[in-house]
Amino acid sequence: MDKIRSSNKIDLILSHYKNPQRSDLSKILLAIQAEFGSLDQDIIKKVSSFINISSTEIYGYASFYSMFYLTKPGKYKIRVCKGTACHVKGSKNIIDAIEKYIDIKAGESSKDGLFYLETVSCLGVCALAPVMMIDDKTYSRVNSMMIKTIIDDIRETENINGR
Amino acid sequence: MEDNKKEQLVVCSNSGCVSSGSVDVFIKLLDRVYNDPDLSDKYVVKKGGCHGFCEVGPTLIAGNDKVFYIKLTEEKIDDIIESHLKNGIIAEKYCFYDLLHKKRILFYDEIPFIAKQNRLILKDSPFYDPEDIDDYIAGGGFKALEKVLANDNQIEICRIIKDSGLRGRGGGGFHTGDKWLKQAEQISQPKYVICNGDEGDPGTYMDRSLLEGDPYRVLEGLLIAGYATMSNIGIVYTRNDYDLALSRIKSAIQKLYERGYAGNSVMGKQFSFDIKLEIAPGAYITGEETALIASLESRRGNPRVKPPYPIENGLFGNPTMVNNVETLSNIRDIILNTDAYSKFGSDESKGTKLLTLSGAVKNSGLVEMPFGITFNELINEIGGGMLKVSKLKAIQIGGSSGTILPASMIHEQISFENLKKFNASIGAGGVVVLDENTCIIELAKFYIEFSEHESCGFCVPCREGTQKILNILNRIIDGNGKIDDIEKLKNISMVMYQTSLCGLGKEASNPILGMLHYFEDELKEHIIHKKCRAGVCPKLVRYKIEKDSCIGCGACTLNCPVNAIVGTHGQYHTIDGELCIRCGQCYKVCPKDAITRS
Repeated sequence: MDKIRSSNKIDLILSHYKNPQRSDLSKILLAIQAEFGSLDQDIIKKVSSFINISSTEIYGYASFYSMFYLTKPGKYKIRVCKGTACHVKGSKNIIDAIEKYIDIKAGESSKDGLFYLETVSCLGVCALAPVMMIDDKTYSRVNSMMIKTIIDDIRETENINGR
Repeated sequence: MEDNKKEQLVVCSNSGCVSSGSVDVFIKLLDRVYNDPDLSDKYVVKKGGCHGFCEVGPTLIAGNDKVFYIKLTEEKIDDIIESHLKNGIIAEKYCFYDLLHKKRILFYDEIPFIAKQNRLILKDSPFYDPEDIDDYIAGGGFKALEKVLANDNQIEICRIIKDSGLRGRGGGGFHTGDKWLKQAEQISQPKYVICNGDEGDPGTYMDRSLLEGDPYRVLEGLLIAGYATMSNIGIVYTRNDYDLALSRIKSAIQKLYERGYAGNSVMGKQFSFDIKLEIAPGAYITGEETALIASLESRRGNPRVKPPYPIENGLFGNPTMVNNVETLSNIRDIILNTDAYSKFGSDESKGTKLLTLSGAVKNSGLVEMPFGITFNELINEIGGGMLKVSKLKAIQIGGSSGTILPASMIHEQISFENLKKFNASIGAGGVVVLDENTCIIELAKFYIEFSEHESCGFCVPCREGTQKILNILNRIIDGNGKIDDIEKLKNISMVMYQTSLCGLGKEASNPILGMLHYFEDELKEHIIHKKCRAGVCPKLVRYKIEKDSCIGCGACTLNCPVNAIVGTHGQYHTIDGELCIRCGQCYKVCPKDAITRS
């Protein structure tokens, strides 16, 4: 049932492109990802036959860039900055703290599907290092103690909404 | 009273201040002022662009005197309204305190961090609303475009840029005027001009600040570039992570179309120019122009061999000129004040450069200075000196492809030609100040780790070289280094420099070469004596609690992430060497400095 429904949605997205060009690939993948959260094998195969580019090449393209997710990321995307300024002010401790507290490694999602942790090279808020982002919100001058509060807050809101 | 005669209350609205909570402050201020007829008759509240002093945000520049309030909260806004806006008494306690001279500084123009700078591009940005095209026009916006459009001889405009001596600000330092002339010569259509805002070097954020804080200035530069080179499509290319920049540029482009500054017949003249916004899919390498073009064509961002240059064969095979965001931001001033512009800077580097100052300095932020100033002026005068009591150990300039320079070079000038003498480059302009708590070996590893991760994997020297260097450095940091590792590092670095395809590979070994050249002692210390003088490399340090100084407060026990510290309250605590991961948390929190590092 789910499969049929998702297949319809992909067809709907693809139908916007009457005469698909190679350069449309990124837009198509982005639109599909916005709908499903990630790009799995079935999606890549479908896009491959639609745009006439081999699925290996599409995989090579999507895996090259950090904007595309090949496995479904957690609901909250935590991005910890690893730029120089953050690095010298201890961003490694922040990453360690998050990894310990949620029990995931950078690049993974938590088992409950709530969090996804990734490191980024520079968020460009160096004056307020160390910095991390959760979705659109930037947290500056982060320390290990803050991590617990922030994550607990998110868990709590999720619990309330979930009930 | 009309809005433009009222005194302005400007709240900074760039990423730095937003992350410190400037949106709440802005809403609160707006709400209070607009609901109070006395205040709304006298003041107008607006958002401002970037003043660069992100560290003290959120900020408010109040009134015609430009009183500068820092680190604002909603409560402070109430106080400021009561005392300053209603009673005319400046709320001094919320102003900047200069630790160096031990006094309060009330006015924006007198803040040392800002007063010591020489601002050209950033001059007006803090006072204009980046989301309001009328504000930009009122401040002299599009005057340069108008002047250029009145000139039918486009080659002449390219020559003005060439004569100004402007060089690309993205890192390469190529003469912009030459690029423009070359692009203008191309006859095939369509011709593209790309504004490259795919900034990703660790420690740099000038492109983001410009796109967020002064989007119209960047777009005006792009329009002029389009007209001068007879191109008809402009593309603004920036990172997916820059949410605020993306939304501002998007709305700015839309406004340009509405007002007739873009599209068919720009400003009623016979010049049509379309502007599109494209999102970089997220890879450091796409800052390189051929990789950038590949990503726009939905291909993997692998760079290719040049020549042919993108100007001859670029996007979809058409002539394509790629200019950096900061380069394009300079255009407006060059067109309006050609002579004045060339007075800024040194012999071979004209104009001003935006530098992002961060690390162990008192004031960090975005700095604009003419080329030719020294590190000393940058760090000690603008930066306000070192943080706390730490001593300067090294300066890192140019991001991941930059060099680590020793403290002895503090009196060297910052310019393309002078830094070249030391095999260093200005890069995009990131300056990180490092104190004695930084281990140079570990820092070099950090940069090579970055390059290893961001290497596109296309050419062998870069892909394999970065991995090999990383392995060797990891070995040294773990205390297993051998003396011939130094020779190996040198060899691999040289091979990478000579044989890599693109700039990333060629320059990736720069931090290593800098480390080998200037900090060989420290490297040898790591290898021979298994010692890290900064106490950073975990395997090379031991923490111990001194029996006599320990008061048994338990602060270390609470902060230890692996529970390696044991002891009863009020009595001597001990560290279990087996469990300890040498993170140094206990060392930092001990109130009695009873924990020693060796």
